[in-house]
Amino acid sequence: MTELLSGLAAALAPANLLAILAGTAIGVFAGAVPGLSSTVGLALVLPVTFALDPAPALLMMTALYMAAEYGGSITAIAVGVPGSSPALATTFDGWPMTQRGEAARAFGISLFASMSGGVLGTLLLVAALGPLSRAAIAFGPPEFFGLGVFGLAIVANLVGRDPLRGVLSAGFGMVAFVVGLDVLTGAPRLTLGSTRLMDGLGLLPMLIGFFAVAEALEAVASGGRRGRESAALDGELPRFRELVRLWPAVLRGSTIGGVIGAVPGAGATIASIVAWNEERRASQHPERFGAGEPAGIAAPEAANNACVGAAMIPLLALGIPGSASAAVLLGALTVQGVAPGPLLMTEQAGLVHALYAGFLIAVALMAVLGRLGIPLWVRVARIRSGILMPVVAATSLLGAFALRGNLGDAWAALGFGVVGFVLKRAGYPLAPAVLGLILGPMIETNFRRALSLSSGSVSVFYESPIALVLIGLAALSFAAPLLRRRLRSAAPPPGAD
Amino acid sequence: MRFPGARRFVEPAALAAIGAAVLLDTLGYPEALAPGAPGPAFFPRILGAGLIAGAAILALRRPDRADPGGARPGSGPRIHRRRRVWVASAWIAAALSALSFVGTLFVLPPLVGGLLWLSGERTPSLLVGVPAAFTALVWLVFSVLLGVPLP
Repeated sequence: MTELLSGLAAALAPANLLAILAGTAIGVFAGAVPGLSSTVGLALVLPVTFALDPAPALLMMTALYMAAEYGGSITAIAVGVPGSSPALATTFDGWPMTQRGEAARAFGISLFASMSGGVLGTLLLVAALGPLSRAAIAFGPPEFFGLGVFGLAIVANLVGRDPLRGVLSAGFGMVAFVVGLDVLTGAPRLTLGSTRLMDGLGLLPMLIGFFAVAEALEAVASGGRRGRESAALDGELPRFRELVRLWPAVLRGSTIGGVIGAVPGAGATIASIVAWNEERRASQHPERFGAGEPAGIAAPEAANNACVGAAMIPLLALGIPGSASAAVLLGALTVQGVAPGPLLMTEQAGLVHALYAGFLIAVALMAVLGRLGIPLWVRVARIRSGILMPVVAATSLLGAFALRGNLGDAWAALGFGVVGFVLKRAGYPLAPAVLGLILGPMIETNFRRALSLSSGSVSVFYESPIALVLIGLAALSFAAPLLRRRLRSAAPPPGAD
Repeated sequence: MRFPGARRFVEPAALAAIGAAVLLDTLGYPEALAPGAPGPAFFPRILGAGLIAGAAILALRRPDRADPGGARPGSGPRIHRRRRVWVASAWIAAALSALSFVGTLFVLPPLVGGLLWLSGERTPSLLVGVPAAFTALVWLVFSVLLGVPLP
């Protein structure tokens, strides 16, 4: 406790506080602009931090990382376009709430859940740096395969009115991930002989294409009338009682985010999607999810912010970056002469405690910026889609280019946009395709790796308790909604004898 | 010659074609590096076969079984709306093609202005003001504040 207080005192030094404020503001912006994720934001400020002392440099970067996870929800709720991939699950219920005229309520819930998730993730970091980092490296190929299959089972809840088209949509996403060089053998797959396709199609162009370009085309098709049903409740924030009622969802989401975030390679996107799905399963009204259910915002937003603190566990304790953003942070630590690993807590205890405190201050500043920003986000949500979507599409295409400085990514985003528009018109939900692209590599690579290690014996999957539990949960998760649907259609309509 | 009802087979045929293309592509893939482990063709073959099976189910089931998107609210007859979408896609493609030669600051105003026009916006001040303000903001944020090199 004394160490934490001394860390808090260090983090509150004017230079450090200014660094946290700058990091938080840039993070909210980077998270909100489709294409500029936390990773891009961190990469952009990395050169700036070279001129700073270790404490303000690292505090600025960790604050940016935390705030970017919240920032992603702003565009997800305001325009239905996830600002970054961890905000994908937030669009499922956030955008329907905006369409219903409850944008301010959705923004308030997202801010509350992000703050709570951020604090709980930091507390987890403080409490479990040692034991959780050891548990996290127990994840091998069978366990990652189980986690991927568990994530994919969520497709069953995203299929919409036509399960077959939902599953086929996930198949499209998986076909899209196959394009490029095979990770294990280096063999080109579905590249059509083009060297440009060997890098793969990428998640970001798909996200931008499906959610920004396709929606801009939808706005064009509808003559600018895509959007909301009501504007009456735009200014009403969630009541305190509602936030208290959402606390269990926030706790569940934070727990899922804390556990998945600590596993290197799993990441905030998977954590938030799993949190949304588990919240749906835990709910007494699962049918409300995807149509503007507040808990459908609270759980994923808590999960992706809890992931930030949790992702620091393997990074600080073992020097293993759990995500692309953590890898940039590892670079910053190295540049500043800080060597992560088991000795960090003894050699740089002061800096680690300042980082803990920095996370909490970043959450507080995020709350202030977020609360001040809600009226602005609501105004953005009020703009007619005929004006908003062309601007969002142009920003997103620029963001797609800016990520790697590659114009090919912007072309890929346009291609995905046209395909997404056609698929949507044909009745295919797009979220399963994105899930397929995110989880496909995790499932395939780890399935093949696990069988390589076991010389082809499938016992490797049921000999691992973690993998077995995850695969069992996946089977349950996949079967439950389909069974529910079957039972509902078999039941006689109300009033029928 | 017209074939009534043939339209509903377009979607399954397209799906089956994608599935078949995936399966055909896997014929040239190398074997797995480790004995007993699946190679690079294993997963794409499952996907290709799955798409063909899905296409078959789509083709065989009753056409009224699912809602294929349905008609969307919009202005003008459906053919005009569809044409506007293709024009918008071509407009974005033209802008991306011109980006390397002309530069972002000269491409963005016509890109955004054109999309606004196609979305039904006809107010002159908005058609000029929104693209100009947006381009200025992009220049300020991307080039000046963040230092991201734009084409």
